[in-house]
Amino acid sequence: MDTLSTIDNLTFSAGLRHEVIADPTSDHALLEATRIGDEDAFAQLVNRYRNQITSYIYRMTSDYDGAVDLAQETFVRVYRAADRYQTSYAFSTYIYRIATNLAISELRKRKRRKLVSLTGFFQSKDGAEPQEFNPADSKPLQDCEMVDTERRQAMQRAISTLPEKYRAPLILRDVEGRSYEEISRILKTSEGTVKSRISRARGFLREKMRAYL
Amino acid sequence: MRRMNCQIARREIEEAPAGEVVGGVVFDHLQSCASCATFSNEQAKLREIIGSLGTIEAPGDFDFKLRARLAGERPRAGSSFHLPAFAFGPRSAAFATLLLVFGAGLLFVSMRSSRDAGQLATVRAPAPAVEKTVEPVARPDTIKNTSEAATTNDRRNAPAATVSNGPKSHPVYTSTIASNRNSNRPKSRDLSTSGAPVLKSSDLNARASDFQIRASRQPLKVSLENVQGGSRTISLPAVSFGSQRVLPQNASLMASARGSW
Repeated sequence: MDTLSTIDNLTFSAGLRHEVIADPTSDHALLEATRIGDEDAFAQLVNRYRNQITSYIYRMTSDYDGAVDLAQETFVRVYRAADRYQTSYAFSTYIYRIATNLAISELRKRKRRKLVSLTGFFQSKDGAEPQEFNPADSKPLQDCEMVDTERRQAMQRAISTLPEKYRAPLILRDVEGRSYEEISRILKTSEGTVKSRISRARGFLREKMRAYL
Repeated sequence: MRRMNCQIARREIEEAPAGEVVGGVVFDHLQSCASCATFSNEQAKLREIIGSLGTIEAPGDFDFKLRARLAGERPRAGSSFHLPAFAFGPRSAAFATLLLVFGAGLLFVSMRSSRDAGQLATVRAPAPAVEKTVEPVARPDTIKNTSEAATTNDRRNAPAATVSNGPKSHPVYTSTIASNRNSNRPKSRDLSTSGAPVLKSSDLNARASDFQIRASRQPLKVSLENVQGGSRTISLPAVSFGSQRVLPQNASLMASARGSW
């Protein structure tokens, strides 16, 4: 993905653009200030997005320390490219795109290293990427709080078994609460494709989380 | 028709925002279709679980580590200079240095190869039978070593040879081949030789006399080496001169009983 490509359908009108930059607390204004050397402005941007980006990358990679490292790399790249940033698209789209690229690169690196799971792999029905075998948990439920914790952990494990092309749109939609339009901009694909992949991802998760539904 | 309504209904359920209750035609369909109703319930629970994952917080030292990382990104004062189009930095300088070293190394290797090719040892074939004029035997003590060289071919082909006067009665011919080896490439030197002595009839007695030519009994070994460092050794059998009789010109040659001339 080209993190710096412009998106035509996101061009602001001249008046709106002026308003966006005029607001000193907007993302664009902070990045503009970063470009001219205001480090406090960049620190504000980091505070605004660090949890979201770290969490998003963690959901993608299921590795907290790696997610922190990649989140920092995301901000480093934003900083490096500050003088080339164009305000014609939303900053959140921009930073999430960088984070998605880094997360996907990491997942592909792991695949190349051929990390083998002790539970083995099986091929999905439609010939998509191999998924880790993760049978539904049929143990009896106990304490509510423990159940919730266990359920969330099971869900995270289930998400980590999804193919990367299904994982990103699902997390952006159901965890981050992004709109289809924004997801399609982040992933540089059509809305129809985004909807289709999310539907597919939920289908996989429905099967794996049968015991909890 | 029913299937089409189920597809539309399920699509509407999928695309609805989390927590939003579907209404209208889809709601009516769910009242009448148990399968779609089950799907809707499962979908809602699934999205609820996914949504409960929440946001993971970054660690407390995130900002500190990021600043440290960015400090390494910023160029230090005086470590780079800018040209209008682009800037040189430590990385560019290191890359340029690497290129220079690499180019110098290539140049050195190519120069060395051409020099060694020029100094490659010429292969010297073993000396054929030296063409000597058979003349009446001279008194041993009057034999002179002349500087008249053998033919050009003989000089080129003959091994490096030195002539030393051994005992007064017999000239002694010894042959040596010198080769030098340095640490990298073997070299051979072309030792100059003095020409083979010519026996003139005036130097020889009328009557036949014997004289001995001593030569090494060891086989002559010639080592040939190429620029790649490969070598081949050629071993030549020892030439036994033994004792020869020089006959006058008008003498007929007859083989002796032992087959020697």
